[in-house]
Amino acid sequence: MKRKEIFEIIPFIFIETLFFTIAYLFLIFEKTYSILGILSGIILFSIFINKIPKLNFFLAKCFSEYKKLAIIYGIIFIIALPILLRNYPYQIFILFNAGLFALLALGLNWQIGSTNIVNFATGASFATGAYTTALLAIHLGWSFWILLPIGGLAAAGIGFILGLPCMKTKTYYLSLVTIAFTLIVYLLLNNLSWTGGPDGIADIPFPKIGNYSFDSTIRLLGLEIPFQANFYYLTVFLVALTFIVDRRLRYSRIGLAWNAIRNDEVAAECQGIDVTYSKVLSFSLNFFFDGIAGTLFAFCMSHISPESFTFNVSITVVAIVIVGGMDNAVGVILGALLMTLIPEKFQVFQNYRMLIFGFIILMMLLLRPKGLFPQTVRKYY
Amino acid sequence: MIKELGYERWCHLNNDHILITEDLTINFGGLRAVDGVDFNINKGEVVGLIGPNGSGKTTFFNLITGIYKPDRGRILFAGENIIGEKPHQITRRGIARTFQNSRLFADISALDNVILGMYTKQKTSLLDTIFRYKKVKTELQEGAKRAMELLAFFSEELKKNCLRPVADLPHTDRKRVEICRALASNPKLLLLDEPTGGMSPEETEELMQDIKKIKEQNEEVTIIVIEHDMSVIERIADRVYVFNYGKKIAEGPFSVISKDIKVIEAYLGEETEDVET
Repeated sequence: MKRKEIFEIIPFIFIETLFFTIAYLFLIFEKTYSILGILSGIILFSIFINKIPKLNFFLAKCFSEYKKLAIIYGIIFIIALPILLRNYPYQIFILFNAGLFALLALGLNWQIGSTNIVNFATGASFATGAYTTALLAIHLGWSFWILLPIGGLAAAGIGFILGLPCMKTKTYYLSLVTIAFTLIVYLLLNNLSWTGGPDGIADIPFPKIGNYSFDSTIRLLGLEIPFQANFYYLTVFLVALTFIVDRRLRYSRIGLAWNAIRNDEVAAECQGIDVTYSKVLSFSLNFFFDGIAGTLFAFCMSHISPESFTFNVSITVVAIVIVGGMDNAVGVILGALLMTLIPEKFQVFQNYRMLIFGFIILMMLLLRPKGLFPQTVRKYY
Repeated sequence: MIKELGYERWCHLNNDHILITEDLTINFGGLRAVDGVDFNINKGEVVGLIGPNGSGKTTFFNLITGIYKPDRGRILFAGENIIGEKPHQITRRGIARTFQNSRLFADISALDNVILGMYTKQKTSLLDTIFRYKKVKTELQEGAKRAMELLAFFSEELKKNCLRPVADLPHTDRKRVEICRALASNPKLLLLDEPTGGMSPEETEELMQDIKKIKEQNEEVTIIVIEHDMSVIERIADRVYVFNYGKKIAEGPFSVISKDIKVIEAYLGEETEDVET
């Protein structure tokens, strides 16, 4: 290895390690002051890097040259995280929650980000996946692994049925239809007898691989990792899968067509794009992945009630996409982490959660309408 | 008689009409925007469409491409009736167009815009995208290669800037990207709506040469062009149609049209009219 290469690798590994350490500390700290300290540290650090263009440029160059190394290092950190957090089961659970929201937000990104359909029906699709699979598991005893795609397909079917009439409306009116849909689903779940009413459905069996149930502690090299890590790994796997699907869709004629529709529907139609089909496809795909997230949620919580599928879920996911970045999967995943971890860390402000979310959305739309990580240019070679 | 008038320029072409409209009419409320227009164009011909502002030229394009549905009349493309079809179905038949105020996809790159022009030629489905991505990748890379060639055909500068969002490009380049996007679908019929609008005389000249080059490279392609610059029409159009108040008031080679009393009246006003200065 040449000396220059070492000179470039070391600072970049140092930065990444620093970043991971901060993330780790952020997860385990519980006092408001220490968390605020870390947050202001991150902000000061990023301002410091941005103020020195040479350093900024150098880091960007390092990261683009050793992209593979950076990704592998990141994956190792993600896998090792539950081991580091083995004494903090609740933090692992929060990360699982963040993963769920990342799944929902990646799906919604194809709507808000790619196609510019502001869809507030996430709560409804999430509920469809959760309730369908929970009922099937309780009454028919089907296993989680079969129900995972079924939950997705059930939600996609609903998305297709909702999508067709929705295409008759545009912009605000379309958003209103989706809001109404979420509210209707919530009311139905509360008032129907076979969904358990306000009590919901309890005792959904945990997922199993062979004889290994997901609610048992992982024992590895004498270390005891709390059972929440099982759900964490499952979610990370699904997010990674969705991320790959997102990338493939983005670099395909489907993703291009969505972007065309976002810009100009008439011009898109004149390129031979079937606008209705493309929009309904985006709806159904979004609902499919919401359904999968719903299934995951139902089986990992083992108990679901209508309170988990309110309109607030829809707002949170919309906020994640807007904050994270329109049509940028990495941004959306980071957005999901931010928007679930920060409210969790500032329990003091819990009562003002929706108010703060509204404020954040407003500020983002005014100051950075394309999100923290805007869409990147497609490169084909 | 015909030879004297210069009709031989288009009479030698066979009677292979690629587009025919008969009695094409559309009303917007009380306004008859296009009124009983009979139009025909042969394969490989370049036809100019001129007329004062608001005479129904762009509406005529919108009728052909299916954006508006006519109230009366017929449109035959390659011998088949295309009335009632949606714009994307008509595009699939081989009609591509540009818009008066270039309607590009502003926040994606120029290259992406041109690749979107090939949408009808690309075949990969959703399942291919998710499970057989290699196929999609090759298709896209081939598309990108062809798009680069098309952009380079217009200007090398444009090729260099092809990864910039279209919104950042200068006006002239945007017009060019739009023509590239239309050409990318290998259309049988190309509709250009004021391609030189807002360009300087030099840029207009350049674009005119480019349009001639397109014709030279592909004899088959048929072009209808709306244009206000008479020097452009004179040099590229085999035949000219003149519209006024939605009606076709004259047709023929430019040399004949330019002497037509009705056309002069439409552009300059009737002689009997009181002209206030």
